[in-house]
Amino acid sequence: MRSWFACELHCHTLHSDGDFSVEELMRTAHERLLDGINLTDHNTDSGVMETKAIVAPVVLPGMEWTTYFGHMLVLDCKQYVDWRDAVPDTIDEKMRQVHESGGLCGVAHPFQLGTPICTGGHWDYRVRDWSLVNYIEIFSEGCPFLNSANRRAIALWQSLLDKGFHIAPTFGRDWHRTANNKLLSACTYLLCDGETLTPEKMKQAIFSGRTCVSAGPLFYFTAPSGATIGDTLESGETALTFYTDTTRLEALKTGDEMQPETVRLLTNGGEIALQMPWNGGKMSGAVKLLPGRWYRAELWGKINENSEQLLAATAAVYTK
Amino acid sequence: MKSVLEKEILVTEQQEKTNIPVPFSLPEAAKQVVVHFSYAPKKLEGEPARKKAEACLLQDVPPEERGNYPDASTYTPLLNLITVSVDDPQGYRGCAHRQTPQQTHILSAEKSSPGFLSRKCPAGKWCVTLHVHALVTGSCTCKLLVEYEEGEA
Repeated sequence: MRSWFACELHCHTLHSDGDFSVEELMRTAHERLLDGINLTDHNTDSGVMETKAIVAPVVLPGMEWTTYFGHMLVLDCKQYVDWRDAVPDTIDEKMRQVHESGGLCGVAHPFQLGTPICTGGHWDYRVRDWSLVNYIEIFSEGCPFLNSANRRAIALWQSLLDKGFHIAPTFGRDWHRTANNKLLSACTYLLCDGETLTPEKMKQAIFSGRTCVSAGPLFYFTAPSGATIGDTLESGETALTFYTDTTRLEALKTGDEMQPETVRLLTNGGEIALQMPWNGGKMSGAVKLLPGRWYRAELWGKINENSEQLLAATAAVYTK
Repeated sequence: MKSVLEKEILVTEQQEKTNIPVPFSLPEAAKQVVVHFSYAPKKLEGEPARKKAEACLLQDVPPEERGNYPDASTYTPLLNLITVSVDDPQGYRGCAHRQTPQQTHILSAEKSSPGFLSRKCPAGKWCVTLHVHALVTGSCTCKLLVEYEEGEA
């Protein structure tokens, strides 16, 4: 069996410019019912040793390469790969070095403003082979409303799906402190084998594109075969089952009201393959899946007083 | 404490987005190596800062999206950001990526300062590298002092 786990994939501590000690970060993550975190301090993994003595949440080590031309999340390299010589035209080679070292690469907040407002925050790397990128933060910072930068990140991700790249979407709070945190329930849900989470399973879920980016509710869909997010399906007429699970959202008691209203299934070019009013935690929709495509689902609704908000977006499934 | 490196470096805006390595030799194994680093000025304010912020917005935000961003003055004052990383004879030791322009980092086997790995401080080739993430004030003076306490950890 597989289970979904709530995770925060972009965290900072006193080891770079966060306000958290490692212990405070982990305690706060646990209070927010996060099962796993990626520790991604800027250009260092010196905080990782301090996580060993703490049981929960599960920690996948990483580092945010905070370079002059973009910020790249690098997860779980077995050997250090140097971030300091990454320049726009060599990023593919640097990503290959990360993969050779067993790591994963993620583009952090690609459309954040850059130098000098947020130094290096804007993705200016000239990636030639996007198959080297495992994931892209389509929602960044504490508030996954559809602001300009997040909309453009979704458009970038979707354009890469259109080109045939299997890239996972993620949320990253870019968590430095608790002050001014919004939508405390926002996270990336990861689909992992079994009922317990491990760092290796977190990594495998991101690698396999088994993610759901969410303001709060867990949202995903399955095919009759049991195939789900990240899998490859047969094309043809089928009925997909869409699940919305608000268990964690309700347990958190953040005070944010979220009301799902619409389920959409999108495919290549952003075309809407299916759209239905939301009517409960488990709902079914008939759809004809065309061959050689990607399909991903979105859950829309109200967040507090704001209508037409994106509550959750799944990674894609692919058809043969 | 013995001093092993003392240097004042003038960094100009032409060096923005570059690394400035400052190598040194540690003549003997140390209980701890201490890196003192500072730079000034830190801030650019007023109209010069607003102009630079506006240039950043023009570069990073497409015209059809600019209405979704606040006025450039919202992003001022702008800050210089220079960080340091350290290599010891074993390789990359860590980095202190933070805004404060006056920093002291202790490297030791028992407990290094945040950002740096705790391990022995052997004799040999070391390097402090300055990373010029943002240089908004035209130029900036950096002061670097490295000291060590002799003895094995």
